Amino acid sequence: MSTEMHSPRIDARRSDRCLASIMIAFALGALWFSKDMSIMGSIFPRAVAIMVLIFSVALLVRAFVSRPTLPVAEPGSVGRRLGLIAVLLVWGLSLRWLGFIASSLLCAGALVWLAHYHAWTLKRVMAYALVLIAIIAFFYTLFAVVLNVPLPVGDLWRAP
Amino acid sequence: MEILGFMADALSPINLLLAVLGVAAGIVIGALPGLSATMAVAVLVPVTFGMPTEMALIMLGAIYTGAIYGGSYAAILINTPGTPSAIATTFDGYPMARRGDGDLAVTLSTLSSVIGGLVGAVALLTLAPLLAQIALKFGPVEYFWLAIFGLTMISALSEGSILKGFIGAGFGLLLSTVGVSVIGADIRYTFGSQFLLGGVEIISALIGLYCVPVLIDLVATPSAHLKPPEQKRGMRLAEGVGLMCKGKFNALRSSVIGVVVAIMPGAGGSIASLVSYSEARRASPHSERFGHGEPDGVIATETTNNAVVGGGFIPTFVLGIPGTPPDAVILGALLVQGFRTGPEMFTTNAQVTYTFIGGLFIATLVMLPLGLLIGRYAFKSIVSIPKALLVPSIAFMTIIGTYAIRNNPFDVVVMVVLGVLGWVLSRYGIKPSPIVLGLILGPIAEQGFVQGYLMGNASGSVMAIFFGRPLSLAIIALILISVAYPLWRAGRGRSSKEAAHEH
Amino acid sequence: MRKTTQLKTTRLGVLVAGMLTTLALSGPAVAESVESYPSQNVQYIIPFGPGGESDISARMQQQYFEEITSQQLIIQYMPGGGGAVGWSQLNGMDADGYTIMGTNLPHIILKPMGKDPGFKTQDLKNFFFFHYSPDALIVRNDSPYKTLEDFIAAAKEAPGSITVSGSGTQSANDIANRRLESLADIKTTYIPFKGTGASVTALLGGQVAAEWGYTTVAANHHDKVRMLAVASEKRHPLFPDVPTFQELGYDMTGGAYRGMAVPKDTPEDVTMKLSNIFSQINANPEFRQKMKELGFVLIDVPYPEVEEFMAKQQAAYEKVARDMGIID
Repeated sequence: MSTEMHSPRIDARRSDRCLASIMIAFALGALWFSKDMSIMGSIFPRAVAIMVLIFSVALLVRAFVSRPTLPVAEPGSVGRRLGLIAVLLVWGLSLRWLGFIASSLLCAGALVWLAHYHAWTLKRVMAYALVLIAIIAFFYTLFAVVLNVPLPVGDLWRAP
Repeated sequence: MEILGFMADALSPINLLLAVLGVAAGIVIGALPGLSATMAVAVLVPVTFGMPTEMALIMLGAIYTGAIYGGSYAAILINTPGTPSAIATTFDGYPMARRGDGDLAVTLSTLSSVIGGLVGAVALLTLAPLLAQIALKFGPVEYFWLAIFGLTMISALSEGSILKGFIGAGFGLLLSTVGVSVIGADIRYTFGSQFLLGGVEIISALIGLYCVPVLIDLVATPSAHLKPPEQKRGMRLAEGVGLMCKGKFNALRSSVIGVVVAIMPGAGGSIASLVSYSEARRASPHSERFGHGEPDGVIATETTNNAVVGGGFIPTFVLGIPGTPPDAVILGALLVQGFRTGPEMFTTNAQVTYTFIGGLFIATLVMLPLGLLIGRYAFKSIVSIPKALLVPSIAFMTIIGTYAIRNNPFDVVVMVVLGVLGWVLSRYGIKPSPIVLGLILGPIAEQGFVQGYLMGNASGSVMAIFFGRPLSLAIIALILISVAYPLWRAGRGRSSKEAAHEH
Repeated sequence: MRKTTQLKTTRLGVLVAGMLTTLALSGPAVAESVESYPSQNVQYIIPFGPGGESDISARMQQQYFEEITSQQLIIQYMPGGGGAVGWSQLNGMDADGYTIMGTNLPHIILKPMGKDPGFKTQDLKNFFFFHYSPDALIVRNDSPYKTLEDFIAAAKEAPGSITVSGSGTQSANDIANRRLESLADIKTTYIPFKGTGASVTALLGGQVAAEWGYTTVAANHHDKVRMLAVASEKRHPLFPDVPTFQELGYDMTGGAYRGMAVPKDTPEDVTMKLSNIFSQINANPEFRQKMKELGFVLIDVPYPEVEEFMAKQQAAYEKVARDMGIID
């Protein structure tokens, strides 16, 4: 903790207020949706939601009365970050439809492109493609054949 | 000395070979995020049907030991706990790897796992019947207090604001209530989705919360994932042994914590290693270095999670109650083989039991050379692979691993969403560890509380149930100490701050 | 299967139609002659975690399945929601006979009665029920209750003060407890735990006075516990000294039944063949002996009789559920 004190920090008043408001909304939501649960089922989530509510209000108050700080976030390309998130989401959502192999080749390929910072040469493209296919083939064999995991074939490829 | 004879049976060439194979397979499976020790053991069970019982058990024990150890690779090298027991290994292992000490971290984890495994096996050999009785003393109320004790670790795990740590833990606790509740059979917070009925799967949450943020930050810059070592060097074994010698009390304490927590059937390896991590931090003179690549942190968690292996077998063998999920699978395999657990395990079936314990010792020792060897390759390949291939490879492993946990594509979506959420929250100052702590402790706290409340109503006094039992009081005392100690220490630390700054 | 489907992908029309039906249930499987079935490994999905009774009894079958068919039965786990996660997805899986799933009674009847768990009882195409574990009221060896009468007398004396553990709410155990409560006119405190393992632990540790479990639990912990009564029609061969509830004047029989289901579009002949394979396993003397030693009671409900069996169970549990107030 003490080493973090030395790293550059930024004013966190706005971000703390924002976080606290979201968490207050979240806790209220948790309370609201517990209304038709049985007593045994609702006692715990309600107690926790109230706790979150109290802590969040405290955070909100603190963000107004004092000057909290946060360590500066890691710098880097926002576009690539968002791109990675999008690819991962597509990957997860498409497993069922495209099947494991198609969806993995597609998304893994997209990630190679996203994570590469140098110029592309034909040789490099070929080499990366081969290595990537080898990695996917290896893990596919390990999971599907050795470990008997029924990986999704893909609804798209099935007979209607 | 009959026992030693039985244990020596484990030394036959074929058994040794099985131990080596089991450990190697376990390391590989454990190192892959999502493939837990439970799964490694479950996959092996049908293979063991055709084998004599001793061989089957040796191989199961070996793969379990190897998988728990293998979990540390992913934790150290890509910040992803390969198994839940390795959560706390990420705290210091990954920072070590980032600054270029990944090889040292892997070596330390190997040495620690061997020591922890040996202590666990010794406990199983010598103290099993005694310790099993302690396991039974833990009722719902004790588990509730234990969970609360676990929540006090938030202060140790949340870097920066403790207030935000508590909010994060509350978030995790609420996440843990999603799905069909055990008590009351309510369907909670599923919003009509049948996929959420099963709740948030803990391992997919771990992968999401720890690994996805790493990926997100990995693509954002062209700099290398881990700092490569300056020159060619081995696995820094001598340095590792030196650190282990310095941390011997830490290792011993962590092993004992591992054994003790493992014998409680409701807890498990993840909680054991978190407890020993926070204890190591509390006891260390350099507690401020924890979380920034302190070797003692790796030593603590890795000794603990392998001590859990031997410790977990204690209730499994003595009481027929599995201490950890992989034990449940091994217990099932035993029943299918026609073996009854209970006192017979140490009388009529003594030969099988002691050969198994002997096998556990051997598997643990085999882990040393095998681990150093495989660890070296794992480290080298992660360091040398270009980023453009590393990112899709890690992403691929997280996706396939998450899917494989319960063959459910929806878990993959949950993993990604939680990962993105975790990354956003960490930008606001809420770290993933308190959230994970809430997720793990939530069910224990909730069930313990409601069951205790029902028991209290039946006996006429809820207060007496929660505050009147000796074991509960002991845990409550621990809670008070762990809350008060940092405050006391902070007070003392302020007066000697100048001295601390000279490091 | 995979080969044939890949051939089909070349046809664009199929592909488009496939896209349109992606969310719909899977279509009927590619025809395969029944004689050659099974020509590859069969996936056996257990909708619970490893190590429980469903897992153990499936593991017992696994060995003999391979002896009969020379194909492997591969056990997969799909835990969550007390089985609901698996059952709600069963009908979306490949309906070619190579995917089967364990089903449990009364779970598959009781769950859809409350809130919607994502599946309906009649949507599950059960093809065989192979055993049941009779309900049993279990106490520790050192318990003051020597007989069921002792237990009932104690409960009458201090209503609600006797604690009984069991697995889950609105589960087989919960129902057994409520049935005994109404038959004997007593009041106890039922404490739900996560799974039979945790509920036995509570009994062994003295946290509760008694446990609702099964004969299997008593068989597994025979050195530490004894049963007051079992809810089967006849005494269990492993426990000839333990009376049944009926003998003691309480008309209750029941327990946890285990069977298997296939996705609903699985061809009839394949389903029938599966039923035959599993009744062959049930007939194996070695299998019977092992199952008996673990405390299970084997039953044979082959595919043609499943409908009648389910109707009977449905009626019985509907009555119980009405008494319990799960449905009105």
